[in-house]
Amino acid sequence: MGEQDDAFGVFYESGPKESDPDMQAIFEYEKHYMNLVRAYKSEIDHILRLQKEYRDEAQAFYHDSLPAIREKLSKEPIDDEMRKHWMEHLESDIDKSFEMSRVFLESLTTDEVEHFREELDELVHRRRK
Amino acid sequence: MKQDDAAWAKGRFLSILRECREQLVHETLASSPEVYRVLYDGLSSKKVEIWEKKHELEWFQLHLEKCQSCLDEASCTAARKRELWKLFLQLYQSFLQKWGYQKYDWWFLGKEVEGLKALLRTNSAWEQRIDEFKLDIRRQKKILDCMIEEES
Repeated sequence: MGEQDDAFGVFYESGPKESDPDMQAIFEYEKHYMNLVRAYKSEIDHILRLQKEYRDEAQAFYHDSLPAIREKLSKEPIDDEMRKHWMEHLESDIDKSFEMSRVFLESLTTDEVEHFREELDELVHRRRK
Repeated sequence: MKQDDAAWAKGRFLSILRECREQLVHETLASSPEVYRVLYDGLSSKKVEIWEKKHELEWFQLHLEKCQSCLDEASCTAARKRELWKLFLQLYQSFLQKWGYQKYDWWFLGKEVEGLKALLRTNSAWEQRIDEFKLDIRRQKKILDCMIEEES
């Protein structure tokens, strides 16, 4: 896509808008922002995919797997106390593991956003010089 | 630290967490003999507590083994692998803290698993000796019963 073809093309032209430096700066900033979004598309897609996988897995575990495990154990010759104890043990380990996945996923997202912001700031600084 | 390496390690560790959760679900749904042997024994068995601890520690270790496999499969220099391994260890330590383990406790987990395995082996050996002892008593009682019968 050429510079003249995108949504900011009108601001590259010489014209009345160039006479308003504030307006021009805002649109320059937005242009850089959109370019960065385009450059980071694969990272954004990757994080969105990981977040979706996490939500789908948690949904499948609590709605499908956990009831299936309860049903299976109820059909086995296992003492009630032992069954209850094992379910609590299993659920506790998986709850904690899901919690850690959520923490790492948030940290990954924050890292990427921070990286994105750093690049944007760098562009703004370069522009100011 | 390179941003890409940190993102790669976090992405891979997220997959490892998912795979290890799947393993816990699978072994219960697929009737793993190791799990069901303990479930059938019931809470009254002295082995349950030790076995559960061992099972959990082995599950923690599985996470680290999967990190190692990731690095084995990664085609990069030894220096970069060392950096990635450090990142994996940081993530693994954070993960273990959720269970109350402090920094560097992970180093001792392997030894603890070995200790628990030895305890279970000792327990089994004692149970076997008790069974043999009980069998011997039954045998002696039977012999005595036969002798009494013959006398009368």
